[in-house]
Amino acid sequence: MEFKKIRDYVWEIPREGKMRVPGRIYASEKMLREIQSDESPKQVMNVAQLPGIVKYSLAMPDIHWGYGFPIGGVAAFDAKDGIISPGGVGYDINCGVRLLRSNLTRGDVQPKIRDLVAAIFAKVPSGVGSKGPLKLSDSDGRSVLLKGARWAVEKGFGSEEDLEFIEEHGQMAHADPKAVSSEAYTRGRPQLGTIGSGNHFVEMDVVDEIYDETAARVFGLFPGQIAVIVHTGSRGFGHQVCDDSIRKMLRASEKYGIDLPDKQLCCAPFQSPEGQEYFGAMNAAINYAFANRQVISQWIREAFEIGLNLSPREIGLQTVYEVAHNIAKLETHVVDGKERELVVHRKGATRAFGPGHPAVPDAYREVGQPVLIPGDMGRYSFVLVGTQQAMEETFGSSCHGAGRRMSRHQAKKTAKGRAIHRELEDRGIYSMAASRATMVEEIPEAYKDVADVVEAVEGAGIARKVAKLRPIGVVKG
Amino acid sequence: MKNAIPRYQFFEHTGDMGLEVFAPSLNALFEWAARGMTAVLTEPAAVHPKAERDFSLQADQLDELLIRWLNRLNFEFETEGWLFAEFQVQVGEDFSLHAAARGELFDPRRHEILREIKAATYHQLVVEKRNSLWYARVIFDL
Repeated sequence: MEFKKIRDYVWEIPREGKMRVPGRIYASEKMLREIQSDESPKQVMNVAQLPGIVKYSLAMPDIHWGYGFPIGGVAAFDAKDGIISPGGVGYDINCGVRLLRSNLTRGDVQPKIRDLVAAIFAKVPSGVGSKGPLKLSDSDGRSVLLKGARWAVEKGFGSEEDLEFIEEHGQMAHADPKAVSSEAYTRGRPQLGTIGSGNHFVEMDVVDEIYDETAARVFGLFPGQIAVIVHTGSRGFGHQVCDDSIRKMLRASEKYGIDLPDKQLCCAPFQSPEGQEYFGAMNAAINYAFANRQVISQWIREAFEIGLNLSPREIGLQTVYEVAHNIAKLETHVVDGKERELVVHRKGATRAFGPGHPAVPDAYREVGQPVLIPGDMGRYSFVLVGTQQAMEETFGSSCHGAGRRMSRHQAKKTAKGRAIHRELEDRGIYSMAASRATMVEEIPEAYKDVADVVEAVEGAGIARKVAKLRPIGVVKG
Repeated sequence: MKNAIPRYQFFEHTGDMGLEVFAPSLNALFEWAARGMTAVLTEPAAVHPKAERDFSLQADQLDELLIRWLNRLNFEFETEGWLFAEFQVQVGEDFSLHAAARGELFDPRRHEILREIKAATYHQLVVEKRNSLWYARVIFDL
């Protein structure tokens, strides 16, 4: 496969065969070699074949082999004559990340980190098929799907201020609860307010380094400060919405004569009844995930009070921002000098809107949108900020995380005979997990070094570093 | 090859897990794919066939029927805690499926859940007869 260097950190896969547009991969030379060893470049080429794709089939530096779209893929389709694809969003619809900052410093928390991690572990259900203590009535269930995080705030989980600092204010329009199957309700109802397993987590961090003092000040971050990262999504609800939708989209693809390079890329014209039905169901799942993280964030605040024996005012846990990284959204972008309405699919990629964009909260508009990039559980995570260049090149998108480099089998082999919990503790990270198997498959070296990923997006100019966070406590599924 | 023993094996996938199944008949292929999925979730030897559940499913294509079947079993685990050890499957020419699955409810004292399956996916999905053996290839999103 040919990779043409466009400039440092930007590579093009030229158009060939049925590709409608070229592919573009954002990566360092070293990362590109690793990327070439799996099937993800082929997946970039497959996405380039879908009807209505605009400019490029894009991939961020954390790209790896997914199912259908690559993980780290971004593709925008014309809203008038392009498609929408459930495989371009994935099963964990609106999987995303919230960052909370606090009034506390490392000295306030480190001596009590075990109590704090235990309090969060007890308060926030995690693990495979975890079920929460919330008892949702039918009307609550519908309300969650329509109102998202706002439902949670109305029920007493957090405050209006949280909503200001969530992508889309934690509530997508166009959610259609009628487009959702009874199976999705059955799976989702007991799981609201749960983390799940795999790469999902709650993490206590210390702000370790500031790169951009202005942006850090605007986001309320300072060195030595305690922050919390929450990473989870729409749980079984979203998984079921995706599975139901793919079944329908397989028929729709035949109906509309769409040639599929892979069944998982099944899709329908965005304006078709099938496209709109998926859009309604997906937006409902997006809102479920927004509500999920809002509920969890409030429980984390309560766990801090229990674990540290301090008042909410002393702790001061406030939302810095929350981003979605598995999503398809109707957005307006300038393409070749003209404004166009596009359905932007981000599959393992984060919105990274630059300074001045009206979707960025007032308080941050001058510097741009915070972009939250969790790393593996042993190293570090980053806070970035969106740039104008991302608006021009990547439909305002950037990377979403470290990206896996080892299969689960390889990770298990690598971790054999090791006490991962103790190794983390030696690095100053106290961890609790619902399952030992999760810890083994999630060992730090199973992931790319997120610093390399971040260096590539900064080098390419599609996001800028603001701060580095180091974990001191982790709760896993 | 009529007497070949059905079996499954896992293959490497960066983020997720792939399953390959070989079987002398289509019914056995579906049975062993389900056994393979149980092994993604937990240690199969710890699941006892104490109770039975029946399933009837329909799809438009054979490969889609396999995904429906696996995702249905995952739904049973996630919503009610069913883990299954033994399967008896009848696949019809019209892509219908009638199955009896024997297993038990998840018991945290005896079952370690290894990983959560979001879904069996359609990515690079294969269900086909290769010479005298049936072959399936499925990637799970974990």
